[in-house]
Amino acid sequence: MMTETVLEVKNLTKSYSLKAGGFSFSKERVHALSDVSFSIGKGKTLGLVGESGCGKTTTGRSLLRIIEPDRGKVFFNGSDTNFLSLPEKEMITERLKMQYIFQDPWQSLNPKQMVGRIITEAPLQHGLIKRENALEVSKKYLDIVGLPSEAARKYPHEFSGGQRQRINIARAIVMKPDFIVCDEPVSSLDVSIQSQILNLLLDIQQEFGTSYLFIAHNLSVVFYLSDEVAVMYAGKIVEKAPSRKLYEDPRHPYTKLLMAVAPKIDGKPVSLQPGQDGEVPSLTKLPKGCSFAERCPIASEECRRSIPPLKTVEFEHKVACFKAL
Amino acid sequence: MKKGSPFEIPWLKFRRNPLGMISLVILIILYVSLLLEGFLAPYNPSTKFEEKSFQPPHNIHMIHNGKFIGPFVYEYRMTNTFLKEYKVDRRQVHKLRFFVEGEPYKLFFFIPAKRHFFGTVDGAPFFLMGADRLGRDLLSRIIYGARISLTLGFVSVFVSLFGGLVIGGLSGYLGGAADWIIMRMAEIVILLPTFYFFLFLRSIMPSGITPAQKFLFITLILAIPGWAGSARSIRNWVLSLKNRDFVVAAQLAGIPKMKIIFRHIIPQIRNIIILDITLSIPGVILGETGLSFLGLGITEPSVSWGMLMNAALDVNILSHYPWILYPAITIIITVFSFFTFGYALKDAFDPRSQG
Amino acid sequence: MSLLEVRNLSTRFKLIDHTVRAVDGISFSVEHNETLAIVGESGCGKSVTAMSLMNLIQAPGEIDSSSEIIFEGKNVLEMNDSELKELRGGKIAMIFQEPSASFNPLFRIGSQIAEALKIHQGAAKDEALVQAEKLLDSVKISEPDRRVKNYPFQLSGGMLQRAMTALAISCSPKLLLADEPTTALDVTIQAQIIKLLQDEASEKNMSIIFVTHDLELIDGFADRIMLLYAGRVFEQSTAPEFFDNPLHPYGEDLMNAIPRMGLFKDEHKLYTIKGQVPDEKSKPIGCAYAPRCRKCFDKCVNEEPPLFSVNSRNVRCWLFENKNLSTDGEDK
Repeated sequence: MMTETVLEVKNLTKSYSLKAGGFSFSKERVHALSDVSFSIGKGKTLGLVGESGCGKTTTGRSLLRIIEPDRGKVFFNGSDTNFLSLPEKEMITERLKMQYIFQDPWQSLNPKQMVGRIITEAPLQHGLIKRENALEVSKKYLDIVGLPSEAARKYPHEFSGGQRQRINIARAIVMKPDFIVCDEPVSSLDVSIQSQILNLLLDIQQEFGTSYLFIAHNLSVVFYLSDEVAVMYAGKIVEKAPSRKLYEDPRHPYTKLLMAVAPKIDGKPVSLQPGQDGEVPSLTKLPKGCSFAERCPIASEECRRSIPPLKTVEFEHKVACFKAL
Repeated sequence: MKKGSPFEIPWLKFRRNPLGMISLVILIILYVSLLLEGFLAPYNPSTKFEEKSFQPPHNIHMIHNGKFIGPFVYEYRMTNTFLKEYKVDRRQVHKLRFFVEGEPYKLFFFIPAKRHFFGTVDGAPFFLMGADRLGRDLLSRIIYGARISLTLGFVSVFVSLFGGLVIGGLSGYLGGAADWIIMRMAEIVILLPTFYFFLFLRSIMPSGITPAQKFLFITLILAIPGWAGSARSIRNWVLSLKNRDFVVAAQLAGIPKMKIIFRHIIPQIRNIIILDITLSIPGVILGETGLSFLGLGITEPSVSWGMLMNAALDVNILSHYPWILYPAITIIITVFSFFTFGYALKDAFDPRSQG
Repeated sequence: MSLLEVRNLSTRFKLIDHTVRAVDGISFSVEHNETLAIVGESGCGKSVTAMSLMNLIQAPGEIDSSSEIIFEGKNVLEMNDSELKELRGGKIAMIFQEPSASFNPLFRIGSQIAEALKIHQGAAKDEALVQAEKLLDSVKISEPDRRVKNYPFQLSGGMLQRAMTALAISCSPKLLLADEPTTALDVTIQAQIIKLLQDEASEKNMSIIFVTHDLELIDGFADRIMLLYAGRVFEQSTAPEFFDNPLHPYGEDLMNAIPRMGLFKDEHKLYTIKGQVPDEKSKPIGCAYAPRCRKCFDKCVNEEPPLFSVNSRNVRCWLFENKNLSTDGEDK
C-alpha cells in the first residue's frame, strides 16, 4: 500500500496458565492469541471484530504491553526495533505516542480526580506542558471533544456515560498520539450517544491523522468506521479485507454467520441455519484443526485435521479457510 | 456540609442516626475538654492534699440550717488515719462557685491563667469524684488523663495505618512473591495474641527514659500489631482496584508506581480508611489501659486513664473506696462512643443504604 | 379482553434529596399471543415498567396508587402476597439480563427447575426432575441428562440464558417479561435466544413483553413497539409501521443515528443527536426531547405534548396536534 505504516504487528501470541495464584501448578493453558499479524496505515482504521473471548481485547492490550505477550513483534512508526523487547523505561517513553480508549466510561476515570487533572496528568508527568498552563491545555482539549471548559473543575461522577467517554478521548489525544486502540468505545453507550462518539472519533482522525485499532463486537459499527476489517475467532484472525469488500463478499463461514445473525432493520426475523447454534470452543482445549469446524456447515475431514492458514484469496483479501476460495 | 462535596450524602444520612449523633457529640465534648483541661479541672493532677487520702466524693448541698445559700459542701474530717474513714463536719461550709480563682495553669497549653470552671470560694479542697491514696483529686486526674489516653489512640492508629498503607499498598500492587511473603508475615503478626505481644514489646523497652520517650515508645508498641490488619485489608482493596481501567490508564501515562498507589488507588478507599481509623482507636485505648493497669504502660508523673485504673488493682482498696473506678466509666463511654460513631459512619458511607 | 391492560402506571423513587419519576403515567395493553417491545435508552423507565408489572418495586420506589395493572381481569397491584407468589413464575414469568438473578448458585440447575414445577404445578419430585430434563432439551441444551445435574457456574452464558428461559417457561406462562435478556450475550447466541423465544411463544400461545435498548434487535421479532423517553410514552405503533416511518422525531433520529449494516464512513455521515438523556433534575418543562430535537418549536419548549392518536398509532409530539382528530385513538 502507498500509505505510510504506523503499526506493524507480527505473530502476536499470548497464552495464560490456569493457575489460581500462590503455589498451585496446572498444565492447562488458555490460548488467547495465536500468531496475530496485521498492519495499520497512517490515518487509517483497522476494525477488529469477533465475539467475547475471541482475543480482540487481548490483542489491543498486549500490543501496548498492558499485558505482556509471549512472543511476537510490534514495530511502531517505521522503527526497526521491536517494541515488545524494549526495556521498561524506553517502552514507557515510546508508548506515550500510543493511547488506549477504554470500553467502560465508568471505570476508566479516577473518580477522585478532577477532569482537568485527569486530562493533563500524563503530559505533566513527562514535562510536556508546564503546570501553570495545565488548566488551559485541559480546556483546549475539552473544547476539541465538545465539552464546556467548566468541566475541567468537575469530578467524573458529574458526567454521563457519553460525556465521560469524551473525557477519555481528550485524555488520549492530549498526548498527540499516532495510534489509538479504541476498545469497544461505544458499546456501553446509549444509541443516541453512540453516533456522537463515533463522529467525534472520525473528526479527530481527520484533523490529527491518527490511526485507530477499533475493537468491537458490533459488525455494523466496525464496517462503518473501519478502512479494513479483521474478523477474529478463538484467538486467530480468520478473515481480513477492506471494509466494503468484506461486506460485499465475505468468504469465511464465520464471517457469514456473524453477518447473518447481526440484528438489522429489514423487517425479517432472525434466521439461523441448521448447525449455527453452537458456541465458541473452550480456549483451553482447542480442536486439532480449524477452531470453527464444529460449528461450520461446510467443514470437511481436512478442516478437522489441520489448521487452515491465513491465505490471500484476492487482492487485499485474506481468509483462513480451506473451503473459501 | 458543602453542596456537591463527596461527604454531602453521607452526612445527610449520618444526621438521621440518633445514636451516631449522640456519640459524635460525646466525642466532640471529650476532645474539646482535652484542650480545656486546665480550665475544667479544679486542680493540677499532681496536687496532693494533706489528710485527704481516699476522701470519698463530696455531696453537694443547697440548704444549710434550713436556709438556701446556693451550692456548697461540708468539710470532711478524717477520723481513722489507718482505715481512712471520714466524718462529715456539718459546721464548716465551703461554698461552691463557677469561675473561681485557683491553681495556676496554662490555657490551651500556653496562656497562663488562674480561673477554673468551678471550685470552692475559700480554696478548700473539693472532690467531686473523691480523692486517691495520696489525696489527689480524681476528677482532675481523669481530665488530665484524657490528654494521653485520647491522643495516644490517634497517634498510634495513624502510625499503624501509615505502615499498613505502604506495606499493604506495595504488597497488593506488586503482587507475586513480595505479596506472598508480606502477607504471611502479616498473618503471623495477626495470629500472635495481641496482649502478650504488647507485653513482649514492653519488655524490650529500655528503662530510665523520660516520660515523653515513654509515651512515644508505648505508642509504637500499640501501633505494631495494628499495621498487619490494615495492611491486609488495604492489600485486598489495592488488589481489586489495580486492574481497574483508570489505573491501567495511569500506567499507560507512565506514572511511577508509588504515585499510582497514593494518587489513584488509595483515594478510592478513603472512606474505608476513615472507618478503619475510628474503629481501631478504641482497641488502642483499651490496649493502653491494659498495659497501664498492669503498671507497664504510662507511669507517674504522667497521667492516663489506664494508669488511674492501676489503683483499682487491689480488691481491698476497691471494696473500701469504690469511687476509684470512675476512670473506668470514662473509658467505657469513650470506647463505646467510638464504636457507635464508627458503625453509624459505616452505614452513612454505604451507598446501598438510603438512610 | 386484552391479556394485560396497564393504565396510568407511575413509579417513583424517593431518594435522599429528590424524587425520581422513573415511570410517569404509562398506559398500554398486551393482547394474547403478541410480542410487545418496550424500547428506550437508559433511564427511560423501561426496566422499572417491567418490574412494576410484577409488583416487584421495592423501597425507596413506590407505584402510584392511581396506577392499574389488570392481568386477566385482576389488578396485580391489589393482589395479596400469596396471589402474587402464584402469579410470578406462574402465569407471568420473567427473564433478566443476568441469568444469575434467576438461579441460586448453590443448587443444581435441574432441581431448581423442578422446584418451580413443584410449586406452581404441584408435580411430584421424580416427575418434576424428568420434566426439567425435557424442558432443557426443548430449549436446545445439548446433553440435558448431564446438564440437569450441573451447577449454574458450569454452564456458559448462552446456555445459562437458555436454562433461565426453560425455568421461566416451565409453568407455561401466559406472559413472559424479558428484560434485556440478550444484552450480555454474543450476537450468535443472541440470535439463538431470540429464535428460541419466538418458537416458544408461537408454540405455547405466550405473549412476550421484550424490554430492550436495541431497535435493530426487535425488527422482525416484535409485533408492536412502545418507545419510551424520560419515563414517558413517546410513540406506540406496530413494528412494521414504526420501522417504515417512525412518527416521533426521536424515533426517526434514533433510526438515523444507528450505523446500519452496509453503511460506510466515506459515503454516509451518521446523524448526531445532540445533548443527552435528561436526568430528573434537568427534565425540561415542555417536551422532554425538545432540547435535542431538530424539529423543536416554541410550543415544544413551553408545554408538554399529550399523547396524540394518528391512524391508531399514538405519538407524543406537537407536530401531530392537528392530525389528532383523524381517528378516535385509544388514549382517552
